[in-house]
Amino acid sequence: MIWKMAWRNLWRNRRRSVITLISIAFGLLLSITFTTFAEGSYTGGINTAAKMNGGHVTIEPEGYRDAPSLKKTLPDALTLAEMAKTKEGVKKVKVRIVGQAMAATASETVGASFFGVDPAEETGDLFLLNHLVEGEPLENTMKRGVLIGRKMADQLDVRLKSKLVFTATDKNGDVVSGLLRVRGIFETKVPIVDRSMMVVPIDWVRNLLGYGEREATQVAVQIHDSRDSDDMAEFFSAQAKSQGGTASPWYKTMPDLAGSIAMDRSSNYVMQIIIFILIGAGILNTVLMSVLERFREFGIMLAIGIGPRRLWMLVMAETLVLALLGLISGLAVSMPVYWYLHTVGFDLSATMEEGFTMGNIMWDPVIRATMYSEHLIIILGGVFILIMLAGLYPAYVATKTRPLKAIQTI
Amino acid sequence: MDHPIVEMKGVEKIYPQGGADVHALRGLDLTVKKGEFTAISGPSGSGKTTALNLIGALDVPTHGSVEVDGRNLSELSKTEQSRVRLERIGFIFQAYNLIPVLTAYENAEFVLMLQGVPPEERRQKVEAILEEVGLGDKLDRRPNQLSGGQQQRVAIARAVVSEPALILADEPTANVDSKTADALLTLMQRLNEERGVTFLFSTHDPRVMERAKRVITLRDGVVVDDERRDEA
Repeated sequence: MIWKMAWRNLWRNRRRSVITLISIAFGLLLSITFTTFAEGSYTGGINTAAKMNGGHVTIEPEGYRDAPSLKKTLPDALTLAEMAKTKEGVKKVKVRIVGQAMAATASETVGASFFGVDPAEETGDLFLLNHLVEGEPLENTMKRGVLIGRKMADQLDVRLKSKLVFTATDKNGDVVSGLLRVRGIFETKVPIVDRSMMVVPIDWVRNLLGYGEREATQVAVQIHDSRDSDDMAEFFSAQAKSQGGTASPWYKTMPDLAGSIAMDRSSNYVMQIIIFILIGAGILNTVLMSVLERFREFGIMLAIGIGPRRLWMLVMAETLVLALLGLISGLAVSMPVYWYLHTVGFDLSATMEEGFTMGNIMWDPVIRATMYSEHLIIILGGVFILIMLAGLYPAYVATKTRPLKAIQTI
Repeated sequence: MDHPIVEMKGVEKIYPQGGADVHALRGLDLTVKKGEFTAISGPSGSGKTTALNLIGALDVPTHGSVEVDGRNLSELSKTEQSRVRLERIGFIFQAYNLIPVLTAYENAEFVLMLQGVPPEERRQKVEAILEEVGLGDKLDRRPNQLSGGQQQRVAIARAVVSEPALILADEPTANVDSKTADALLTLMQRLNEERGVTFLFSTHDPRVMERAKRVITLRDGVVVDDERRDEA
């Protein structure tokens, strides 16, 4: 009967209850949308960064990250890559030679970072390849082609099919050079990328640097769920240890990005807390008003023997019903919005300048909401707990009703 | 029949009001026995409502003792007092005071539910009492769908259904017309005679006093008259 009374009491003031439910639903909509939108953008950014750089998990020689050197290699990177491909949760695995080099023409020289890649493996993955504005991707792993950024091309004053000299320090510390022909020019609009990165065929650079045929400096592992990076890194570290390698999760290889996400997430938490407080204040108002309006009624109930504990339970039951209805309403409103933002996404290109970066990573202007079950549980659980907490004070007030005062006369 | 249900000894009730204390009861001695149909009358301010509040465990005396069905209310905790109200006392209020979200059936069932009576037993008792008070065909009506007299009948059913030792009725006929008042009094009289339910009224209504088997008159917080009409 307590539940029946709770349900009916809730609808005694229909307008107030509906307004409260709308406020809960709207609060949940905001909370879920903000969170899933933010998480979607973080996930998109991390995935883009993983493609652009060394994967969600980067297997490298021990100490390479602190002091990058082409002398530090994984002697049998190909075996590590083949093993990684069989690991559940792994999406793609790339073997790369990554390092520093000089690119020179007869009149100009620039310092650059290079990616030695297998073009067949990298299609659609290496971020730079998606931004080719002139020419074509690399033909194969050996042919002397190079992809450079627009700014570097301008600086070196080269165009397609122009020659440039690639100079680096080989495995033994000797300076080695090779001739490359510009096969493509990319333009990401990220100045540092367009000015200082180039892509070369892996086998060609492997030969130039004196590496063995299975040797490389990096195995880039992309995984389906970036949140598994720690576990994956631990697993691959164990696998790479025998050849002096170690694996790092994305947030260690890209600390700028991790920092930017952490900062953004913090501001999102503040927003969530504000939303939660607003919901809580609304509930407190509703339940407290509902209790104060029934001062006399509670007095009657106490007079006929309901007892403070049962009265407390009645008010909390009303709060619980309100909470459950609020959560259901909130989900009913939020899910279609989420589904739209998840499948179609939200195009920020009109407000986001081309080449927008965060943590030095270029972000896709179409952001798709991503919901992780733990976030949904935290939001729903948080709102639920908050509503129940908001009901505690009115319930306490109800139990403190003095029946004699409430009914004045028996 | 002569088992004391209510026993008040030397009861004083003083309400502090500003600088001057108000003595609502001044050493009241009162005994009500099982099966009585008693009215407490007296002018406003005579202390009859205060007396009923104390007997109903809704207030505590400043001095003296109040026993209901053998239990000294002053010695009980609030929870125990609540238990006494639930199990030993039925209340009928002047303004009916039904729970608005419950139907007639549910209002009558409410006390039994609080007492933990099994559902089937509850159903039998509630249907029987509502039939007895003439509302057998209005079980599903909510208070706002019932007339004043009908609401008071539900209130009587609620008070009687758990078979308490005592029913306290505060001006039960004050808010109904004469015809309804007569019908309600007849109903309560019948419950008293057939079920042996003890009724204690606080009233100004001469119709109640006419029907009462005993009329206690209070003035200035003390009994000034105690008229028994058992054989009348």
